[in-house]
Amino acid sequence: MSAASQALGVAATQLLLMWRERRLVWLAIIVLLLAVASAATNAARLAAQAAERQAVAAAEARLWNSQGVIDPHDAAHVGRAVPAPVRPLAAFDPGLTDYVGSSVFIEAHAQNIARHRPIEAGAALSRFGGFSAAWALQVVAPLLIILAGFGTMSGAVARERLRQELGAGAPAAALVGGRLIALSAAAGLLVLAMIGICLPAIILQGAGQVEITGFAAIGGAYVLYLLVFCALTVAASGLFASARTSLVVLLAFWAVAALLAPRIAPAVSENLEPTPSAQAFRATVTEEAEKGVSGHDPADRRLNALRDELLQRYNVRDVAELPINFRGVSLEFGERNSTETYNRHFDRLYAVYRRQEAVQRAFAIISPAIAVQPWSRGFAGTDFAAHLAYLRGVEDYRYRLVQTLNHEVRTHPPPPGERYHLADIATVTRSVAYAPPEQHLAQIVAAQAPDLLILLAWTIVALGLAALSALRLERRS
Amino acid sequence: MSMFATGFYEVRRLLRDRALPALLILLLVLSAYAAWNGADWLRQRDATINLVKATELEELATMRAEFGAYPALTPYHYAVLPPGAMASLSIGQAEAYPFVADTSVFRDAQIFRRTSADIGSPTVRAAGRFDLAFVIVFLLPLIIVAATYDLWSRERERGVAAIVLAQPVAIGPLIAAKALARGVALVLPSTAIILVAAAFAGARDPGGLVTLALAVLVYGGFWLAVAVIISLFARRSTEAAIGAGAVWLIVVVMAPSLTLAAADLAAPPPSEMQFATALKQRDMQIAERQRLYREANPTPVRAPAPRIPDRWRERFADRVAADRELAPMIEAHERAKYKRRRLLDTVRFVLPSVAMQDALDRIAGSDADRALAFQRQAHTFRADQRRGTEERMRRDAPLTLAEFDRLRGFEFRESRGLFNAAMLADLMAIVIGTFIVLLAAWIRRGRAATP
Repeated sequence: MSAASQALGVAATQLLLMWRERRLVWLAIIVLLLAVASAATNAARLAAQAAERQAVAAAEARLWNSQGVIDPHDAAHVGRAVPAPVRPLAAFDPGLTDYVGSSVFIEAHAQNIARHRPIEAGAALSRFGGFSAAWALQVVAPLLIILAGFGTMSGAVARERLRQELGAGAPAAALVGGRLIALSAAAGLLVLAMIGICLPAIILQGAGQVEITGFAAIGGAYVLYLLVFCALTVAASGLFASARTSLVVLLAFWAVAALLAPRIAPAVSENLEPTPSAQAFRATVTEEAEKGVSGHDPADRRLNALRDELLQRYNVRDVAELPINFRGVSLEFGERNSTETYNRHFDRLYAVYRRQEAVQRAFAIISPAIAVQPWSRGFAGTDFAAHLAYLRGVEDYRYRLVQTLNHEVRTHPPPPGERYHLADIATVTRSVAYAPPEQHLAQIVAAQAPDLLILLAWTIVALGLAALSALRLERRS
Repeated sequence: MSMFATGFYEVRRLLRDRALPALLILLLVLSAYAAWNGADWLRQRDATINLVKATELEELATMRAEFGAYPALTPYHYAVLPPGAMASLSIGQAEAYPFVADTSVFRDAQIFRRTSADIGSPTVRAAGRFDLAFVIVFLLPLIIVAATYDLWSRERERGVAAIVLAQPVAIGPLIAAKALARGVALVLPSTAIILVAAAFAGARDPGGLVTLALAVLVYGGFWLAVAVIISLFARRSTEAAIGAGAVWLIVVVMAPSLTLAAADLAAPPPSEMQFATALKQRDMQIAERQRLYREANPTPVRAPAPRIPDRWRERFADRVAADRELAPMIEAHERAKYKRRRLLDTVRFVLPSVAMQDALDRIAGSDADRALAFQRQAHTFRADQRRGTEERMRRDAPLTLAEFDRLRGFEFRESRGLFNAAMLADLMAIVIGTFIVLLAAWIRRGRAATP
C-alpha cells in the first residue's frame, strides 16, 4: 500500500470521525446559515442602494439639464452629485463600503470629499457591524477548523490511537498527511458551500464575467488561508501531547491572528502615519491655492501675468478689447490652479493611506488574515483602490465639465450692454459624460500579488510545521 | 466548609496559577495601548477644534479691524462640540456625527453639511477604533472567560467534585463562592487597570472614573455569571473552553452584528443621497421663484440709503423664507432618522455588549444623544443669531463696536449629569441579563452534581 493511499485511508477515517462529531457539523451549518442570512440581507441592501443611486443619477441629470439658458459659471456652482457604483460582490464582502462616501458633489473651484457614508448617524450598535460571509470565512471558519482538529493527535485517547496506528506500521507522514487532507477537505467544503450559497445573491446583483472570475480568485485565496489553519492545527495537535495545551495554543493564535491583529494593525498604521483632519486639509489647500506652492506666488499675480501676456499677444490695452472673454480665461486659470492644488494634496493624502496599508501588511507576519482581507476586498471591489478609481473618475468628469463651461464663457464675450454671456447648459455640456470606472482583474492581481505571496509563505511555513510534527512522531515511534 | 473558606481557597489557587498574572499583564498592555490611542485621538480632535476656533478668531479680528467699513450683523459663524471630560475612554459615535456647525445666518439650514467631511483612512475606520471601550467590551470578557471557564469542570475532571459533593455541601453556594472569589481576584484588578489606563489617557473626572468602575464591575459580573452557567453544563475543561468561546462570539460579535443587519432591513436609514438631491431641487425651485418675484417687484431705491443695504435684506429675507419652506422636508427626514435610531437604541437592552458600549459612550460623551443635543443647540444658536439679525435689519441698526465686543459665541451646554437615566438603563439592562443567567444557573444547579 503506497503512502498516498494510506494517507487517503486515514483522511477517510478522520472525515468519518468529524461527521460523527455532530456538534461541529451543526456549528458549521449554523455558521453557513448565518452567512446566508448576511449575504441575503447585504444583497437586499445592495439592490435598494442600486435603485437609490440610479434614481439620484437620473434626478441629478434632470436637474442639470433643466437649468436652461443661464450664465455657465452659475451652472458650475449649482453642481451635481455623482453616486458611487454598487459592487455586486459587496454582498459577500462589504469591505469598506459602509465607511466611504457614497456620493461626490461636484462643483466649480473645489474637489469635495465623498459624502453620505452609511456608517454615519448611528448608535452604539453601529459599532458592531461587519458580519458577512467573508468575515465568517476570515474569523469563524479558522475557529471551526481549530475545534475540529486540535484533538486529532493530542489528548490521551487520540495519542493511544496514534500509537496503535504507528505500531501497525503506518508511516507518521501518512497519518499526519491523512489528517491534514481530511481537515482541508472539510475546510474546502465549507468555502465551496459559502461561495455556492452567496453566488445567487451576487448574480442577482448583475455580476458579470469579471466579478465571477474575481469571486473565483477570492474562493481560491480563502482555500489557501484555511489550509494554513488546517496545517497549523494538525501541527499543533501532533507537537503537543495534551489536547488542552494544543487547544490553548491554537486559540491564542486564532485570537491574535483573526481578532487582535486586524484591529491593532490599522490603529498602529494610523499612529505611525497620521491622517490630517478634513478641516486642516481644507485650510492648507485653500491657502496654497491662494498663495501658491511656495507661499510667495499669489494666484492673483499669476493671473495678472496671464492677462498681460494676452494683452500683449492681441496687442490691446484693456481686457474689454480682447476678442475673447477674459472672465472665462480667469475662470479657466482659477479652476486649473485649484485643481492642481487639490490633486497635489489628495495625492499626498492617498500616499499616507498607501503607507498605512504597507504598515498593516507588515502585521501579516503574525496573521494570515491581514493578507487575505485585502485580497478579498480587492477582488470584491470594496477596497480603497476601487473607491479611489471612482473618486478619480468623478474628478476627471468634474474638471472636464467645469472647464467646458468656462470655455463657453471664454469664447463668448457678453453681448453689448450685458454683464454675462448666457447659454443653454444642457447643450453646452452634452458631450461631457461621466463613465463609471471598470474593474480590471490584471490591475487587481498586480496590486494584490504581495498578499498572495504572503499567503503562500504562510502555507509553506504551516505545512513545514505539519511535516515537523510528522517527523517528531516518526522519531518517537 | 464555609463560603469564606471556599472563596479563600479559590483565590489562593487562582493566585498560584501562572495564567492569572499573564492575563492581567496582557490586559495592562492592551489597556495602555488603547489609552494612548484614545489620548492621541483626543489630541487630534482638540487640534481640529482649535483650528476652527482660530479661524473664527481671525475672522473676528479682521472684522474688528475693519469695523465701520461695512455694517456688522453677526460676527460668530461656528458652533463646536467640545470632547467630554472622559472622551479618551471611547471614541464611540464621535466620528459618525458632525462636531462643527457653520451657523452663518445668510446660509441654508444644512449647517453641518459644509463642516462634516471626513478624510480619515476608511481602512482604519472599518477596523474599528482600538480604544479602552474596545478593550472593555470585546477583550475583557475574553480575559474573564479564559480565567474562569474551568470554574467547576476542572474539579469534575480531577474527581474533586465527587469528593466535595460527598460532604454535606450545597452545590449552589459552593459555585457562587468560587465565582465570587474569582471575581475578586480577577475583576477587581482588571477594573483597577482600566481606571489607571483611563486616567493615564486624560480621563480624570472623579465622577466619570467612579461611573466607569461601576460599569466595568457590572459587565464583569455578567461574564462571571456566564462562566457559572457554562461550568454547570460542561463536563470537561475543553468543552467549557469551547462553550465559553462560542458564547463570547455570539454575545459580543454575532448577535449584535446580525441584530444590526435585521434593524437595517426592518427600518432602513432614509436615503441621505436622495434627500440631498430632493432638497437641492426644491431649493432651486424656490430660488428661481424668488428671483422672478424680485425681478417683477424690484425694491425701490431709498433716499437716504439705509445703513444696512437693501440687497442684504432681500438676500436674508429670501433665505429665511426658503428655509421656512424647506423645514417640513427636513423635519420629515429627521423623523425617519430618529425612528431608526430609536430602534437601534431599544435593541441594545437585550444585547449586554451593546448596552456596555452605549454606557461607555455616554460616560465618554461620545454617544449619539450628546451629538444630537449639540445639533439642537447649534440650530437654536443660529435661530437666535437670525432673530438678532432680523431685529437689527428692522431697526436698521448694525452692531456697534461695544455690542460687537459684548457678543459671545456658541458654547455647548451639557444637558445631563454623569448618572443619567440612559446610562443607568444600560447598566440596569446588564444587571437584569446577569440575573437571568444566574436564575437559569440556579434552576439547573443540579447538573453540577452529576459527575
